Amino acid sequence: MTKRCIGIDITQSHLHAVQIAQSGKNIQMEKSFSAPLPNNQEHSCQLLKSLAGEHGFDRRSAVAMAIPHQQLFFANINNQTTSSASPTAAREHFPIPSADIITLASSRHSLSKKIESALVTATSRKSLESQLNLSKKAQLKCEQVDAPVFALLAAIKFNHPEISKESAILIYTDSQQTILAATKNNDIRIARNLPSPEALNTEEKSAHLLIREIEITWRVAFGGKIPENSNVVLAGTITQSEHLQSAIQQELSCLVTNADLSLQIKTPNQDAIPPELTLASGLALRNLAPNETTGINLAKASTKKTPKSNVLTRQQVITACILLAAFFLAYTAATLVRKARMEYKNTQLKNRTQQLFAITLPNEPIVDELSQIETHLNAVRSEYASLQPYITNTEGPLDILKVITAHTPANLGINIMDINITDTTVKLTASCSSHGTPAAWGKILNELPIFESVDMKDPKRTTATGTITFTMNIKLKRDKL
Amino acid sequence: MRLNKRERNMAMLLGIFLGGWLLYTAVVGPASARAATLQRVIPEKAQSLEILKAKCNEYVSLNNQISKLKTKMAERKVNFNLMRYLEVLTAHHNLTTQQQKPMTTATYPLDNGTTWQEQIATINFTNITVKQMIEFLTEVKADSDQTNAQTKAVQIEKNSTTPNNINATLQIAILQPAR
Repeated sequence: MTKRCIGIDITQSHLHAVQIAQSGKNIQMEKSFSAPLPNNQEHSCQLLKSLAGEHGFDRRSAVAMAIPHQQLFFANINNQTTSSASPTAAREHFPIPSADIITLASSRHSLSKKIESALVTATSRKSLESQLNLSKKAQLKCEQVDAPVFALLAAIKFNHPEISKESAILIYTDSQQTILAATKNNDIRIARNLPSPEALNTEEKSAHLLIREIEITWRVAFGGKIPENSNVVLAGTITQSEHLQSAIQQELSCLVTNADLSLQIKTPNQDAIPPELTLASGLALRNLAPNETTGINLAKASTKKTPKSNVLTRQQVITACILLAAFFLAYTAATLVRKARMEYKNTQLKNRTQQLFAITLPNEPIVDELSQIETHLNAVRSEYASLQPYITNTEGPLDILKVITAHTPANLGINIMDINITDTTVKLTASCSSHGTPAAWGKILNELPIFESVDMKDPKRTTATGTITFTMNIKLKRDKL
Repeated sequence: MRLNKRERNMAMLLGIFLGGWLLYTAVVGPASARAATLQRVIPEKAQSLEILKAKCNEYVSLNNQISKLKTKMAERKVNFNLMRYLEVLTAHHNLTTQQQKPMTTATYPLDNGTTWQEQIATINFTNITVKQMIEFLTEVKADSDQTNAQTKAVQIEKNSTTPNNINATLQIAILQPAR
């Protein structure tokens, strides 16, 4: 069964695309396309669309693309520098806001028994979405988004398997950039991005710079000076610069090899594959044989929910702690203020109670103000009650007699025979000629405010005279304490 | 001892938590409990103060009136004699008294205890007019500012021989300090 993949390498200035078919161990480049890239995304989209339309690429084939190398960041993270060598833990090592970052780890290898190191690749979500949107607009089925350095490794691994197993330096250049990587056992140990040697003025200067960067890269990746006969594999436009190749060979005493993609990848006319198609070919190979090559797939990473969304950021934790502390302090302050206000009010009430008691009973020691005043008040009430007739101008017997006389209408014909007036009661005996008279008189007296009640007893008619004799008991109204 | 960043953060968090717990236990908790107690106690105390005010006002008012009476009593003539006063008044109004028992006197302690007692004089008038009796009582009342004498009781009945006249028994009392 034949599997096909289109590898698309979009640089700042060019678009390179290859369609590679794999049938068993047979790998064939069916289509290739290179064109300058205008600085216009709409035009790039049109160019990508034309691959299937005008240039005969298979629309149904999977597409592998690369994030531009300058939009990628690499860091070697080991579990000594972070709690683990996971990409999530390594987020703080990249100059990308944590909300926007996508990280993937690859090339894990052990530094010692306990220490593991990984090459973590990071890019911004915006860069990835830009690539994916571009392929979507061009109606291409983008399955793989990789880093150019892994595409380079894949291309070299397929064509120079003997080199990729050893420690080696890979160098890829085009008109805009230089990718410099250190590899060992088919893994990238260090990946770096440098300006293209073509950007420098002189070849001598370019060679000097490149040699120095190779030495630095080797030292960082493997330690020490680059040994003689180490492999340096060149790919891309650098393969066309004999001066650079000879300079590297002479200065470093290394075995310099130009990557030749035609060793394993056949073309329809058995032509040599142009060096600028190295990355595009590597991308296609990465997709066709993902298990045999090393790399990352950012397309899958973009569809995964990032753990970041589930984990509180440091800033969020600090903000939450500050808010919690502020709330706690505010609650504490409010409680203390409330308590102070209540204590003040309580003290005021206590002082006012004591002052009032001291004014009322100056010589009395304070024990329980209310009980003490109650005791004293009961005593003074009792004394007042007995002295009340001498203190207040209550109606005396003379006044009561006058009131009764004044409210005894002459037309009733009442004849008072005897009357006994005390402090609280009046008892009288009277006579009249009519049965209704006592009741009428009693009603008049009962309406007077100084009398509390008027009771009439035993109205009897005397047989001899025909008069009615009755007794009246009147209760006086006195103020009760 | 060197701590890594994570350990430092954990130590800091633990410190903050312990500090907060101590602050709550030592300050906020007791303050909150005290505030809750005061919130319950203050309305009760305010109510007690209002009751105390009312009772104090009543106490002061009653005490003032009793004090005034004491002052008045103190201003009365020291050698005032109720019997003598009534005899003079009876003669002045030309009133006739009962032959057998014209006037009696008795002393009763007041209900409230030992401080005061009442001297009550009982006069039995016979065959007097109502007008005479009223004039007599009016004068007793008029003199009460000086004498402090009060009419305690009046008992009137028709005279059996002269229907227009009455027989009256009057009780006149004065207040005295208890001995």
